[in-house]
Amino acid sequence: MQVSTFKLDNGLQVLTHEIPDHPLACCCVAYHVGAIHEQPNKTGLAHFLEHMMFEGSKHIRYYDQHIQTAGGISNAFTSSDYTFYYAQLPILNLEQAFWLESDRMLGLSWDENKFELQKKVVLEEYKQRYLNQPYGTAWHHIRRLAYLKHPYSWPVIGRDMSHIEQTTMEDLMVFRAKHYLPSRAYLILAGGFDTDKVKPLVQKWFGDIPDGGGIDLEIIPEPQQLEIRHAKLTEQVTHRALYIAFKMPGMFEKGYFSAILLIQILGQGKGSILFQSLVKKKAIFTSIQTRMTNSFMEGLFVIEGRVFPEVDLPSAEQALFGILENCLTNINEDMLEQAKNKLLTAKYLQDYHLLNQCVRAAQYTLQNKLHELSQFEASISEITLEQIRENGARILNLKAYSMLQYT
Amino acid sequence: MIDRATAPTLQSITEVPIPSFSNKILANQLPFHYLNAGVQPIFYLEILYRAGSWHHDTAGFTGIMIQALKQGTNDYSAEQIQQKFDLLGGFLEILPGTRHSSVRIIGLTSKLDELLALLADLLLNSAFPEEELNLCKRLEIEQYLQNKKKTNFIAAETFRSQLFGGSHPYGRTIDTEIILKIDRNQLINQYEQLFKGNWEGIAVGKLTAHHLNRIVSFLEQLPYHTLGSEQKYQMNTKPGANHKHMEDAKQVSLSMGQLLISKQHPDHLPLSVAIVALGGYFGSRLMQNIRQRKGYTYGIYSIYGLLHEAGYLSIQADIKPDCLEDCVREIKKEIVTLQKQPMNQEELERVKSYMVGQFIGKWHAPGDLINQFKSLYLNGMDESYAKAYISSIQSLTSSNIQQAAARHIHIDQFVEVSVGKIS
Repeated sequence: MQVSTFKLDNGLQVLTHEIPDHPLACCCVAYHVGAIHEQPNKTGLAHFLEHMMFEGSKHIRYYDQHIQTAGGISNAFTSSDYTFYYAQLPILNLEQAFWLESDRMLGLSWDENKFELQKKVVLEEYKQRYLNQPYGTAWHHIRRLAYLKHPYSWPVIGRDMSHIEQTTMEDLMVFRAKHYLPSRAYLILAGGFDTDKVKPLVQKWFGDIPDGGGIDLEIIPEPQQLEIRHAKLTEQVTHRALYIAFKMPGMFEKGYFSAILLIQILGQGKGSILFQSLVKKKAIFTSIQTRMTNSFMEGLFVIEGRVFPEVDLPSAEQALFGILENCLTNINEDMLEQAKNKLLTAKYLQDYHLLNQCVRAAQYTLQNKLHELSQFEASISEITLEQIRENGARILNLKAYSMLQYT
Repeated sequence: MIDRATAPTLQSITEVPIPSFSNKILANQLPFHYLNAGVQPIFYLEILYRAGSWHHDTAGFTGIMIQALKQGTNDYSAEQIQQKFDLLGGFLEILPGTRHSSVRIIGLTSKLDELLALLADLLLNSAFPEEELNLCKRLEIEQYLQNKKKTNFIAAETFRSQLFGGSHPYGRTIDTEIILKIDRNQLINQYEQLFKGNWEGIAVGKLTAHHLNRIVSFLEQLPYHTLGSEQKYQMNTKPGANHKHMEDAKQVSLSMGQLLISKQHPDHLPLSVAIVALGGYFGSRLMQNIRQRKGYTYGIYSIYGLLHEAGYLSIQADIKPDCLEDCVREIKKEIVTLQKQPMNQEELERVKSYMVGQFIGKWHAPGDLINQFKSLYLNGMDESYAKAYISSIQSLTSSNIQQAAARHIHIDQFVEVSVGKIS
């Protein structure tokens, strides 16, 4: 892997990954700001701001049109921990992305009409993704139940539609001024370019963007969960459902790799323990799977199951916990080997896409763990059955979890 | 100081190397297509059946049929098969379709032999155990019941049925009764007739001569035959508006469009540029109007779907309920403008560059390569189409595009489906 890094005087860190002969380049900026930097009574700002980043910058009216004319596509996503912008375009036109990306790092045009329109768009997004979907707000509830203090307690889109309705352009301007600084950003490039030729262009477009003052970034820590928490929802759904959330290590923290293997073994795919026993053998659940939040700090390991209409919720719950009580001792070497092979094949498939490589590089870089990026395969391969059981026992704590029920 | 107000000069893309698949007829007459490509130590092997829902009279049958291939063979149970695949780190993808269906394995080249042995067992010795089949059907029904609660699912289903006709294979819809009626004998019968021999092989990946030899010997052990003449169906579109009420819906799902020409038609390329300009990318007229100027939706798209003998236009969005009427009016206004006025040079350049940029990115990952190959091969075309694609796009004029839109899009014959709660 030909990865190199350098830092500009304003603090912007740059990472380049040459992929010989690739006709495209991916130009990404990851800002170290997400929903965790919001206040509990004013959420959804980081994501709303992401929308405004496409609505005109200091010198350029339309971001997207230029990328498209250069033969590229662009988009962005916001997570609890960071905000990620990308443009993928033909190598020949990479400088176009630098021009656009650096200008919106410098500043936005802040047009009141565009702000009001994007507010409508975000509200429709809220409905399309969450309110107009069966079980669409399950994660809103599960986050709130699992985190009492920590800002992971609200979803990235915002805790409630009213928070978005009440957001002012001033709120977004203040939020942006605080967080969108070169020293809080990472420029990540991958593709068929020559790094030596790209460096001077990066310096040219990003070098003179002024950095701002330091900010207070203290995040309220989450106290250790010592009890079982319950919540019930009575909204109309086709199937009763259970969501059980355990705490798990943050991304790349100690125990993280054995946790993602456990997620794989327990509830990913039709060969997993939960699917085989609760769907195939006993036909209690119509679907059951494990998911995780993939967050930088202590995250959630969630089991999500929907129940056959003829089964009542207490029986389903009992059957599920019956499996969880014994699952760690039932995991064998074959299962571990299966999970490792699956994760490796999946990684090779993902690596064909420049964007995936950039996102992974961003996740490591943002946590100052870039030196571990090339060790992914090894980190997975060396996990032992002992470690799975030991870490698994800490995660699947049957005396401390959060359970959401659709009754 | 640098001049930030002026864009760096753009360069237009004139070509991209198009890799050539090798095509062979194997000793058993089975057609095999392969390409050695890629840097990661993985391979894709696709078994392409020339069969799908076109060849049955029951909606949803192909999906159950092809899923059932991995539900047990004469020697192994469904659970054992799943575990064997998992242990090898392989992915088994089941892709039911209308005219063609596929079973695809993706795996590490180091596990090729074991994965091939497993695949051979599924393809040739599937046993369709009764209890597995029953569970498959039950899960399918539960999934269907969940989907029925989604406005966009119902909109898409109703749209297809109204566009192609309820008895046409492209327009048929499933329900609980239909799934329950599928029985084991019917499956076995169809397996023997349609899904055993009526196939081709496609392989892509980091393949050495040794790997290719293994794949060839694997394919040569398969029986091969082709089907006789295919049944003919008549498409029967019911134009007009159709609203379905759904209580508690927070948005209205809109799905509208019409039948269009197929990929072989000489106007296909200018028409596809017109549809991209209309709603195929973020800079499109619909996205700019309905989302960026009106704020009615999070996203609106127009799609030019390609089927074997026809194409269709589908415009889809989830919108604010009280905006439905205005939204439909604006969509039609945009279409009429596209048909009446040639687009300006700036938009023309943008749409073309966007399409060329998308095209050049599709010749790298093995999954993309297989899809590119199939989209040509199954439409009776070869790579000369792909090699000429960029120059064909670049040579189109605004009036070519306008005329294609005017000739082929007829808003007075649109199917217009909306699902949700209009206050």
